[in-house]
Amino acid sequence: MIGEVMGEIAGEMTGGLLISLYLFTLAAFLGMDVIRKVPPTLYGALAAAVGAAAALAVVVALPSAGASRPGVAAALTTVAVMIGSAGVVGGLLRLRRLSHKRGGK
Amino acid sequence: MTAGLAAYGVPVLYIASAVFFIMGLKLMCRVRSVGRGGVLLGIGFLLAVLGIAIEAARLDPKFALIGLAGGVLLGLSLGYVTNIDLRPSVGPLLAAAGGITALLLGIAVFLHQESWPLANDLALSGGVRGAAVGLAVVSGAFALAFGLLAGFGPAARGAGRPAVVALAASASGLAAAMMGFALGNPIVVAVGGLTTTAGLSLSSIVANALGSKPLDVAFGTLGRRAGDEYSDVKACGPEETAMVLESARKVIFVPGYGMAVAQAQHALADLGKMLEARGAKVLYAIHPVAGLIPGHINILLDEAKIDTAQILEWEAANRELADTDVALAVGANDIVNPDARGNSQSAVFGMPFVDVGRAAAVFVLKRSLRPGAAGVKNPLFERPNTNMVFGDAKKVLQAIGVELKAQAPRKAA
Repeated sequence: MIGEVMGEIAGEMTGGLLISLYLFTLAAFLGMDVIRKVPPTLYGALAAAVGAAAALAVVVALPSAGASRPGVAAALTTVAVMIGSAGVVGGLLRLRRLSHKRGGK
Repeated sequence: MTAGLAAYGVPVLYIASAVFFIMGLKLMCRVRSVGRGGVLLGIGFLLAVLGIAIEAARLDPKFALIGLAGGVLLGLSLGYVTNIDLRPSVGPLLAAAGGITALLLGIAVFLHQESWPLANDLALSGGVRGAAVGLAVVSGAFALAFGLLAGFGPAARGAGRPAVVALAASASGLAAAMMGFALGNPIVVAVGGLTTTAGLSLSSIVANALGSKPLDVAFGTLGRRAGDEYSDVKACGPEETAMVLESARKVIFVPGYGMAVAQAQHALADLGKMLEARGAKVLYAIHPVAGLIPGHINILLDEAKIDTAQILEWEAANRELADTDVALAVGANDIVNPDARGNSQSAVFGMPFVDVGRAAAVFVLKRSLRPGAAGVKNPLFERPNTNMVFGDAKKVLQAIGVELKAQAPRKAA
């Protein structure tokens, strides 16, 4: 089983998996650098912003992921789109309210 | 035409959206630019939604569009209605929405392998895809767990809540990245990877300020050390203090006995003048029994040539504090203890006190959490808008000045 998967990974390494791994690694280092020093008054607002960004990333993935056939899968995907976009919009709203509360302009 | 737009236009929209998000997050780390950062995040969001709508419109039936519209409405209502105070709330759960989405999507995929109509060159297949989707589901479950802990767990009422919200966001980001791997969607991998580490980084910054670790904050094992009188005390350094001071329009200093001991009056006056030069209104509040003897602090401030028009007695200062951006208690403890009004059991009850907690942000410059002359605990230190800056008052004030100078000059309002 493991050998089979490893074989497949080796097969994918030249294509999508390799490119995705490159991107993931570079983006992960960028993420560490984007948030380095944060004043304590902005902790809450920034946490909401990162949450909204993560939700947006998933929502972007959704159209290519399904909801094209009726059935349980489509229903789940529809609910997934709904929760994801709620996370983005709600997260941005909370971010706005949190940063106003903390004296941001 | 439409096919060309979807093939080239949509990825460009997503890339632009990611750039706006990264720049927005970067700007949000500064008080000065948090508003601009929010605007950039909003633009990034709109660009991405446009891309999603274009893609979803090609799908049939239009479940994705229905979900998108419903989600925007749900998000608007949750974002407005949920409280942002430290009370249990579903609000923090929004940070886990990405993870929950990935979780549902993963289940849908396992139920129905054919619900992946748009395979592309980068998409994984077979067992590797299964592994990526599985990891997305596991990360999504973690995001949901952290979201619940942030909203209703032991950290929900404390200063540690943003640490747990950030953990939920980080797990959501990892789930997103794994979905991106499976689908071969590079922008999802990139933004997912970015938010994974940005969330982790933020979480450890917040937990570190509380003298703890992210998981200890999440599970409420914070401040349980034996003999520790305080829990939920946030500490930061001179740099973070300067980051908040740089955009403050009104600052009130409350010097206490510790300022006198450290002979910090000149450093205090220097910092005050620096803030005034940046356009801030600077005031000094003097408590009737601050210092060794009444009048002690007045003499020291006079020695540092601070204008007497900027010096207020405690009641006038309390009125001014209501619209103050930043209050700095310098070597002060009992004179800023809110138990003087709020706790009839306390030894300081009924005494005059400077109510620094009214300011939007409070910094307490102090050597340690040791009690003052009255020998009582000070609940001010545990308040969510209070930040401790430990160290010698003079050295800390000078260090804040150095950091403030290093900031870009403030633009005229």
